[in-house]
Amino acid sequence: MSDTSVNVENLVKYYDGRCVLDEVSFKVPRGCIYGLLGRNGAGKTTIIRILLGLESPTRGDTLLLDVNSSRLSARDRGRIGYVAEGHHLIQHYRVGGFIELCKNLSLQWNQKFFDHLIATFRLPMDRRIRELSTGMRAQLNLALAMAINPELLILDDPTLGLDTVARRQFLELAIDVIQRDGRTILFSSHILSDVERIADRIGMLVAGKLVTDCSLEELKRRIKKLQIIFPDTAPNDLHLTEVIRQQTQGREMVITVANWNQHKQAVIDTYKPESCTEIPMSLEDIFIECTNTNPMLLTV
Amino acid sequence: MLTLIKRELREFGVIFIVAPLILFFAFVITISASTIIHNEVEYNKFPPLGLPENMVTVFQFVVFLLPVISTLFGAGQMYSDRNKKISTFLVTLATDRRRILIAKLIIGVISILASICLFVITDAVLLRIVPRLIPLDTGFITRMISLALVLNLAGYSVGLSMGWGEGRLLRFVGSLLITILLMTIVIYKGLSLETLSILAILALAFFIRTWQRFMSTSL
Repeated sequence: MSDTSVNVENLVKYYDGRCVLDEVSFKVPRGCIYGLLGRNGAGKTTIIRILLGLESPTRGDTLLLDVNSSRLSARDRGRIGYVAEGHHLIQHYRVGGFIELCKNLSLQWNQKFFDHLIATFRLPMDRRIRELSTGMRAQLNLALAMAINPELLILDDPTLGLDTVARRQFLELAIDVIQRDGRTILFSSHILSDVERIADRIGMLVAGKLVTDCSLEELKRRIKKLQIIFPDTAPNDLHLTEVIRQQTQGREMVITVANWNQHKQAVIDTYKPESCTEIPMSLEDIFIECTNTNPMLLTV
Repeated sequence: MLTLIKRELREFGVIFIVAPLILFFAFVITISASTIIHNEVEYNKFPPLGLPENMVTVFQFVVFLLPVISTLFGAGQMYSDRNKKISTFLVTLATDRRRILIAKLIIGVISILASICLFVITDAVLLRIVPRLIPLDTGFITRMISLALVLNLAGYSVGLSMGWGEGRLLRFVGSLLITILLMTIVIYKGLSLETLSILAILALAFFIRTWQRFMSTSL
């Protein structure tokens, strides 16, 4: 058994001649919470669907729990919990019957924990799935995925379509569960504040390319946004490399730089600025700054 | 596997009620219609049978009606799965595509066998109560039942193969047209061993195509 739960190697996917995934490679170590980020259509769901064997790649390999995605057996699948984007489930089933079906198609079932989740969510057993709200379907989907005690949990944009309260409730439960068991989680979302709260490693997809694959701390260390006040008018160019964005107004310059290091600090110091203050950036700020300009600057 | 079979049965179990009902009404309507038309019993000209004309009509009608039901059933199984994304969900649980498809096939084949059994039982009862001119040609009856079975399997496999996709009308009408095409083989070539072989090969080909497609397609 290797120490990697998810392994994606040189993954390429074409749809109707259009490249949606371009040589994507990343690994999710066991026990890691990996946040896969990207705008709508960036290729997050495609990666997850290929990982689960729901569709085949054009080229490249994907392994889940050391098994090639195309050869996942029923036993392997029983070790993986999946919360799908949109929580489609089987719409015409009643909640009770649907739970029974999932229970019968699982390798192990934690009834006590499941009952606790169902009681927390107050899901009506006699209603059909299609009659549930998006929030309720998300909760049911999460409860079903958690009840099988999965070694690997894959959450594909689980909070999409949920209102703020439902999203918060969902995330708090997810965080609680994650912290309790220390399982591996692959979490895709374009709501970056969600990812920032729970992920300890980040993969950023931009137009089918994985531009970043590092820890959240490293990402925040590498991207710096600085407010620099100069004694006189700010210079037009600081002659720095990998500048993501630069705004100048009078003596003030606000600059965002990728791959920050001491050498770049030394270059700024040569201009003898009056002050140089770091502006804290959230994951969302980093994502917006980088994807709107040149995402390749983030590439390691 | 048992869970998947039960799920299929729960979803499509109605076929076990609908098929016998259709069969029953087909018998009643055809016998009534042919009796009204002829007023008196006319014996079929076809030597080996020596049966009343209306019974031959019933046999022919049912032999061709059952595959239509099987085709629609097969197409319904796959169309419903595809459009309700049932396998897309099931395959994320502790099961795989192979088991899902086998569960479908088990229910499909059992429903066909049940219909054929019903057909055979009804025939046996009719043959017992209706007077014959000559002794019964058991070989002919066996060929007819075999043909009904193979034609049903062929129709079912066509339905499975064609049902997987978008556009309900296209799926159902398309599969029915192919089944009707298969029926013309019977009309033109008769109840020969050759006909049985051709239909069996076509049924197998459509089953293999369904298997290959279901195992490799995006869910």
